[in-house]
Amino acid sequence: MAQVMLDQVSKTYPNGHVAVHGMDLDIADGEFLVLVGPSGCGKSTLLRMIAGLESITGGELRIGDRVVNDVHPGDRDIAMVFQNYALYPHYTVARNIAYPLRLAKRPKDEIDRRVREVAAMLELTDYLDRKPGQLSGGQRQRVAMGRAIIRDAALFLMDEPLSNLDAKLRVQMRGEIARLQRRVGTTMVYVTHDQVEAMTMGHRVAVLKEGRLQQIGTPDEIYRSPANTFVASFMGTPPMNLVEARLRTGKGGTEVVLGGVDVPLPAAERGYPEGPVTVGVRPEHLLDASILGDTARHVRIPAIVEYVEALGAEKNVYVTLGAIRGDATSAGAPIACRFPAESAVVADAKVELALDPARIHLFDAESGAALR
Amino acid sequence: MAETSDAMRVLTGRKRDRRILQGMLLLMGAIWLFPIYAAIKRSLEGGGTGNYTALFTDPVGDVTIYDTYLNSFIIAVLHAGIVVSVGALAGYAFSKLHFRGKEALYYGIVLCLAVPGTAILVPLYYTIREAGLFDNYLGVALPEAALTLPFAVLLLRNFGDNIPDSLIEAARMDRAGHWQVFRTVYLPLCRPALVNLSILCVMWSLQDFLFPSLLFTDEKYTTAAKAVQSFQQYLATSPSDIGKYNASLVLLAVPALLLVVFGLRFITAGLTSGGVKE
Repeated sequence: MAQVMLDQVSKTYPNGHVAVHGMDLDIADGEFLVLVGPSGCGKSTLLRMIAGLESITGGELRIGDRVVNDVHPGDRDIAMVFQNYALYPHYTVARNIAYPLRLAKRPKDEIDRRVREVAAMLELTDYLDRKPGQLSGGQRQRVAMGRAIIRDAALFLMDEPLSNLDAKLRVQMRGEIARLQRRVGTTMVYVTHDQVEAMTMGHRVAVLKEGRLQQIGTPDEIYRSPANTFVASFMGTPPMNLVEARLRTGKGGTEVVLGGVDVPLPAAERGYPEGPVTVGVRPEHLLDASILGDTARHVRIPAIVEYVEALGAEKNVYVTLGAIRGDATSAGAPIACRFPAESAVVADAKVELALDPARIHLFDAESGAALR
Repeated sequence: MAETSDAMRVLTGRKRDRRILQGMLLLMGAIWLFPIYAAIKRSLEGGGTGNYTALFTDPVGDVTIYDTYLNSFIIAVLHAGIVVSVGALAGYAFSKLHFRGKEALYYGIVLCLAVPGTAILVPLYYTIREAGLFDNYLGVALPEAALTLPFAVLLLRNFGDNIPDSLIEAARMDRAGHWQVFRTVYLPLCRPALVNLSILCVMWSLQDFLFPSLLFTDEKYTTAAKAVQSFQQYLATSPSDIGKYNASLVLLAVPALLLVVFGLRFITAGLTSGGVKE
């Protein structure tokens, strides 16, 4: 087991393209860190740099107390699970799992024992004599993990391991991988573009965009207080609503105008100068006033329902703010709200939204950075 | 209604295509079989099947037909061995390693596909003489391999490119060196291409007339392909031996025929397969 430290690690390709800008990351011993971001954000490159499959063109990478910038991938004590599993099609499952130990020339009885242990842990015992081509996607995925576990490596790397599975299996494997990591306790760096995996699997999440670290924190921190509009809109389905608005000083202190309604900001958010600002509100914080009852906390905002997605347990309702169409504070994408199933809203009808001002996020209109 | 008539048209169209195909195959078969039939018929003139057995026991010139088989076989195996081992290493390097000048070198090698054997005969003659490889199996197998290798590199690189890099990377992360990756991952996955290539090498060796004629001076090195001509000098001139000469022609064709019949399956399978099943 090991901690991993990245100190201003960067990757510049010979053609001048910078895939990773000076990245600082501290991954604790035994931690499960998820790197998440849209495709092309540099997360896979970063993982391959940790693995030693890509060279590091700047900065310093430490695993344990060693600087490993120029250490061969095989000597970094890292096990990796690839997106396409990288199983050897000509070997049986047992032979695939045993491959690292056979290379290390361990005694045969030890290899057999370890393969059986790992196979039992991953429920692969019945498939040890099959070839990868005879397995389902989920089983192949487990074989790939078996080959990683058997090594007792200091660090696990996983590169979008679930992206080739169907939706149902992905949910199941998500849980299995997280459980497995808790059980073996090995430090893990996990790359995904799926924000649900990022939210549910790791101890901490690092959000990347265009080769730069946007924010790192626990899934809760990332969700509750996103550092900028990119993180805010990347995490959560539907994502956080972002509305261009103006701050002004009204009779209730600092206010922001949403849907023609003055929303007074809570005391903590006051003191920002007047001017343009980006307002962020999570869909679940826009409530259906008709089933909320009376609360003093909430500000009521009129809106018109554009369309409704009934998901069974809840409804995603997309609205335009304002009492009449065309009166919206911001043209553009409709505002998403998450209402409980009993809400009676229908498309094209008027609806009254209830918003607790404490739930409002403010971002700098220019840079998108959170104001706090 | 329209649909069924369309379907009927496709079906009858297919039937018609198949008949044309069968007709052409029959015609080609006849063209090809007739000389064989004639040769077999004439081979039995004079001595009956004794014409065949005599070729194995009595040397024609310096060699029996058995010797010519052996000579051809040794050259073919050497040729295939050199091409497969060098080609596999080159294929691995060109498809899985990164080094300066890789593409230039690769296209340089592939360009050699355009060089015919006859174009290099004179320098080859002197090179082999200087190397002391006259009347040596290697003296023929090496130039044959040199001419086949560009094709081998082309075939094995294409095949190797279909093996996902992640397989190699996974092995490298498991502490495998290049030699282990080559041996435990690349070679087994390339086996269809390698089998293929070996069979093609053997076929090319069997039909090579040029290099054995040029580089063997001693008659005991007569190969099966060359024997067609050299046996003619001894047998075709006397009318009593014409049956024996025809018997030799039939026998000399047998190894190549066997290879085509049994090897063709591998060759077509290898040339059409896409590499690694994911």
